[in-house]
Amino acid sequence: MKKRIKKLLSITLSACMILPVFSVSVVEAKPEKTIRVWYWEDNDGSYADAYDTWSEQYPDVNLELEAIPWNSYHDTLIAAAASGDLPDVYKIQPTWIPELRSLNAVAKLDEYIDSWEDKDTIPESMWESARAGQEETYAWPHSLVVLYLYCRKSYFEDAGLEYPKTMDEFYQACEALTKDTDGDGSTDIYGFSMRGARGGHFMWAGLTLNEGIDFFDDAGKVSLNTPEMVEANQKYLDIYQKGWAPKTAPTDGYTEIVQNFESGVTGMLVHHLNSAKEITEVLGDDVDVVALPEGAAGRYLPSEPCHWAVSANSESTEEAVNFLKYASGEEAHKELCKNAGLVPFVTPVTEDPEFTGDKFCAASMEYLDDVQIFPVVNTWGDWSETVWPQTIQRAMMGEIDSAEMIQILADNLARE
Amino acid sequence: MMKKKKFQYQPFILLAPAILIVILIIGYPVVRAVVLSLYKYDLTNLQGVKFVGLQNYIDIFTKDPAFWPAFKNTVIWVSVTVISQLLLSLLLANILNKFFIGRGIVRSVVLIPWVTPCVLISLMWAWIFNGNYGVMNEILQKLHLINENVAWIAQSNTALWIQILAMIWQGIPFFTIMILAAMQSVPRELYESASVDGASRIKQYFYITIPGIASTIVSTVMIRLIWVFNNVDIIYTMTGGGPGYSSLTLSVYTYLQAQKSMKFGYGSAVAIIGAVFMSIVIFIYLRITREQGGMIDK
Repeated sequence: MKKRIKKLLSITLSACMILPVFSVSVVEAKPEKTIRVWYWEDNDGSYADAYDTWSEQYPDVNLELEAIPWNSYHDTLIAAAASGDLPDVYKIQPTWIPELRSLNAVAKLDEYIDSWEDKDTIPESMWESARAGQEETYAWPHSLVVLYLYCRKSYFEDAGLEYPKTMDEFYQACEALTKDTDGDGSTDIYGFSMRGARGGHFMWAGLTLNEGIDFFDDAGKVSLNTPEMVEANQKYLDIYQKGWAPKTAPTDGYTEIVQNFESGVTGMLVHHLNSAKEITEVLGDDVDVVALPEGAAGRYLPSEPCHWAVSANSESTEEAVNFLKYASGEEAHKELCKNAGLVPFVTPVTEDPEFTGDKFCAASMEYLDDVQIFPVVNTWGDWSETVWPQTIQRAMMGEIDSAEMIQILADNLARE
Repeated sequence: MMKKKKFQYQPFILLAPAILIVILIIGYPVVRAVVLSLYKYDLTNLQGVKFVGLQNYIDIFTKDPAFWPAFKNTVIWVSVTVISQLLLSLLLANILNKFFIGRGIVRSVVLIPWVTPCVLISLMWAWIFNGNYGVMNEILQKLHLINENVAWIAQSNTALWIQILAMIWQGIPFFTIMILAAMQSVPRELYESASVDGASRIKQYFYITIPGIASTIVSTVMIRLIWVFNNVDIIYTMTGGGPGYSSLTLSVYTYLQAQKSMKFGYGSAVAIIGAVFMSIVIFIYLRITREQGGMIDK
């Protein structure tokens, strides 16, 4: 018996000693290069699924995908850029390009773009967005979403309202949809899901700047502080101050505004394709989507494009660019748009019935060329992350008026 | 003739590793923060980094609309939270010090808020006080205390108080356990002698228990003062310091400036002001409480 145990032990030990030899050979067979990619998820797991054919096309290059939570993404990225620890490829918004350039963190991509044979599968508007007003191109188109207006179908039918096409109709709808349904004297349904917390500047811009106002004039001077803007902003603040938005609106962020719409607390919501899947799961057919209402100067569609950037310090720039080409390929692009709820822009994915037949996606694609990109200036990060939410919350609370709010926003945008 | 005493270098050598560690992990960051506070140092614009002397401090005190509201909120946040925690913990520790069936279980359950992550606590309280679906509105309406939903954390006059409530709830277990441990270390014989001498329960509490646990209370309050002052997660998760500046504290403001706006110089200046303010508070506190076992000698 003892002999048997000894034998078994010796075999086990020998096997343990031999195993590393095999594992060494496995390591040797692994790809020689690795490219690290940072991104934030649009829907959990969507990137890993979309890019799972990478290893078939590029067996020699290992792809390391690392999702970073959106709330801390910008901070993490800038800190990594300042310390020279960026991944080879990372997802960005175009407004971050000046910051990243000042940190020498982004590689120029013009040469690679010009020599790419499939360049024309991506529309010129997306390349322009990736250029972000710079002389050279530092980004590669990744995704785009277009803001639109979700409307609760049954609420509009009950109120005998048409979906709003103009700002006047929008404010009328906000008022008409606000109701005390059980007659207890307190409001049960509000017209609009207003967002006063971080990120609310998208819907604010879409519903105020359509009066012919822009952040900067052609000479690059801040042009926000005009009587027209003060008036348009007051109308926007009225949504809360007249009780057409939930009382929680000053601190409502993405989760709250979507929940308010889904649970029937509100009748309208401004958001984009990302939330369509979740909303239709809850509301089914009781939701429609229309373009943002027009102001005196037409529509203002602030967009949230995202792009890929390549680290200036990457030792695998060629491989990193290959990844960008792969990600812009028909198969990977379609898969990502489908999984993550993004608007396709690569031909021929844009003609795929899977997207054109979907009312939310179709509404987004219809205005793809009309989107407005926020100004690409150094002050934007601070302005959008801190200044805007604090200032509009103070205005909603009545601590400052519309003119003071616009003055603060303009001053902080122009600050050196 | 007196022999000249030889310099004893051995204690310094033995202390050197500890001193080195303190210099590296405390001294360097403090000095670095002070130096940064004298610069315009925006991480998003490293080309524009320049020495500005005391300009950041001057701007904070004279131009910054958020600083004084944040300072006022910090004083309310720290004082109300710590005093409430102390009083409620004293009450709870007294109850837990008495024998009753299931005391062991209750003592363990009491620890739950302390071991729960701050972010979860914030979300939990944010849901309880949610203006649209929160259970607190439901309860208060059933009790006919309010007629319609109140947006507790979205109103400038209530937001900070709800967060103080969450912080009090979170910190009570720590205080309670410390006070309970101190109470159990008071010698039984003192109570027995006092009983023999005819001292009432109340007299025993004020003349034996309170003096016996005074030094623990002093040090625990000091620790809590610092922890509550430094807390960012509850406020940041619940309101981000809003609406407006209504629940902004100096620590949250420092975080927003340095981490969100990437203004390291300005953020450091706010942090230094906060640290100096807190050092003064702690110094005064220890002077006042030196009779009860504070760290400052008489």
